[in-house]
Amino acid sequence: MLRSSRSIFSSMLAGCALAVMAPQAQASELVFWSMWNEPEPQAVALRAIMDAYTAAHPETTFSAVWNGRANQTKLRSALQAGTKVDLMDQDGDQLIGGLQKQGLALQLDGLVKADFGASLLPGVFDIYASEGKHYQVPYVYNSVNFWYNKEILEEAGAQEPATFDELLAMCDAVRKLDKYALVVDNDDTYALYYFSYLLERKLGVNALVTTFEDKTGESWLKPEVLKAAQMAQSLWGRCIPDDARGFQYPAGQQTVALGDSMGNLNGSWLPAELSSSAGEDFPWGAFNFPSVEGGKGKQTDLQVALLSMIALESSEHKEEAVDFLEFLVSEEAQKIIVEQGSVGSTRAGVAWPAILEEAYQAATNATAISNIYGGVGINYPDFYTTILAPEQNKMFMGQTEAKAFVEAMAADTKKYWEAK
Amino acid sequence: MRPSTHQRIHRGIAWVILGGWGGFTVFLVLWVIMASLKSTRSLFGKPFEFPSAPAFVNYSKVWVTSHFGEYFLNSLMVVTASVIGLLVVALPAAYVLSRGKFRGRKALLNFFIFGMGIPIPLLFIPLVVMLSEIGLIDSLTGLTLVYLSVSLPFTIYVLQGFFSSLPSDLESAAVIDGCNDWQVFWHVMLPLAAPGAATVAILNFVGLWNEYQISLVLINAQEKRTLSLGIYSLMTSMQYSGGNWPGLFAGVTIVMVPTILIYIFLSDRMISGITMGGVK
Repeated sequence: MLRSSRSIFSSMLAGCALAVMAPQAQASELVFWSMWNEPEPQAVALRAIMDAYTAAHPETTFSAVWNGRANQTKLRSALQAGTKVDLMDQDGDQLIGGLQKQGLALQLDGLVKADFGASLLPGVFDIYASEGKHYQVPYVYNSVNFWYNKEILEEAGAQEPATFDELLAMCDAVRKLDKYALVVDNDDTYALYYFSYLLERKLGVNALVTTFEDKTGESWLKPEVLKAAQMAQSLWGRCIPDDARGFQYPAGQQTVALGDSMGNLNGSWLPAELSSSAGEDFPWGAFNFPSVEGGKGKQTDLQVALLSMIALESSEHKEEAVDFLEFLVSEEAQKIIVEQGSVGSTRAGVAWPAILEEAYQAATNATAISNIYGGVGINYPDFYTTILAPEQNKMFMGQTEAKAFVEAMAADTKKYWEAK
Repeated sequence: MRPSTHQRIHRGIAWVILGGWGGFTVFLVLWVIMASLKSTRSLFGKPFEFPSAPAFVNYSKVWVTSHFGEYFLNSLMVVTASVIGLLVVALPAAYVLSRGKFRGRKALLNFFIFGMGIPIPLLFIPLVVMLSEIGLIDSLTGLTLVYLSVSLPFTIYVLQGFFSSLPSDLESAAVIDGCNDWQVFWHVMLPLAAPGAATVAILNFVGLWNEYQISLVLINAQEKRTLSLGIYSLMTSMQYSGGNWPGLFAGVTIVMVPTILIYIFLSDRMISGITMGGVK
């Protein structure tokens, strides 16, 4: 009896000891600062994803601060004041030159699974890597394509163009309907879509960055660069109405919604941005920027503007934060992003909303991806903001000749690197 | 005496310029109100037409869904408290700097004037650090204290000029009647300074009502946002999410209403306060 009591007592002690020694999941609250405003569909989707994560990991909860687009700016001040934040999101290109460059983002290599990048669409995990090191998990896919009204194209009897010459032919066909095929907003950044794409089609992916990184400035004087500038200018009057020079955002893109213009070279967010004026039944179509004769770039190369989430280097819950980042691009979470956020997914195999179907195909079949506006703004924001973007805009709008533009860029690039 | 031809021409030019300027301003305000009652499609399709069926729902959406009701209350609380606090601090300070005779008075006044020249963005990080230290970051109390502090230099500068313009004989008479310094200030000078106080109160109210930079940096929680942050949220939502442009104009109208009402009812008092302070 005594022996049996001892045995029971020993078993109980052992049980208690085991219970104490067993790894206990520590309750933790991840603080997430977001670029979305609370009522936005993307915020609703992220809230649902956080809830789904908590349902699977009850020990982890979230405290979300919906800062809106100035998230990174606000976060910088807050971090300097010692505020503890675990996760944040922002446009990937802004993060590269921001928190990532300042060493405030957590490096993910070795923390995420080795094949993590393979589960995403081509190029997505690597596009914002610095010197081969990964910091960001892109979770929303935005691509730059021509977004257009299918009914007008059909009425004009034209086809989606595969080459620049076909693009001009399409413009001529649409002109017969007393409409213009394309429209722009007179804005330094929007105007750069055309020249940067044309340069990439001429010289290959990231051509604008490599042209600028030639410290002698001589690369600007290549005939292909001049040709790209001239081709961009040639669109005026034929594809783009001359009075579009007076359009300030969003006046130009709204003409597409109103049926006055056929299309706009813009991000895949355009259907969402125009949804309230275009209506739900608007016949959206999309096609990639066409190839150019003798060019090294392919029509399937794509400029993108992905939205990323990062874990902060100063996070006290790094393991949980990284685990959540992996969950964010899981099939389950990305389906929520697509369905509730109405945006493109970065995960391979997760279909995008029907309205973005053609952009999804373009992303899936992308032979290479590069950064929006040619990528110069990411690593050289000073040159981009003060010289390249405004000067290029003047050239595109016809205020300066293409030749004068490339010569000025050659001189300014040389001067920039000499001053460094 | 009848004005000469030369004077009539000058007056005519002034009327044309000021009338044109005033007319353009009124047109813009009316256009914003009109835009706030349209659908997005008609706003861009027929920007200068009156809305055929005014969409008052834009206002209710902004007020409820975009939380403008809460933001309005927050702005009202913060700005009212800041202006009251400002007057409580600035009136006695300006009086002393205007009438007091002590060493360093001028240096102290110059110190306040110097404060007017500091760019607000330079203060962001020190403010965030200090408010975090005292636990007032992301709080309306903290925002109120900052508003009060950054408005002090201008307010003291204006009020000091106003007190200087008041005749000193009244103070002497009060002292002869047996008033001490505090009584002279409270019973004699403060009532005389009322137009000046009203002027700075109105100017500060309008300025702080529209203030954006500081609140953007200091306030994060959605329930603590002010109206200007609400407008900012609406504007930035246009990118990526879909543009409720009439909603934005409804928000702008909500922000404008108190400012316009203040000008309608108190502009005479404000102008008289400014002109009184300007003449010695």
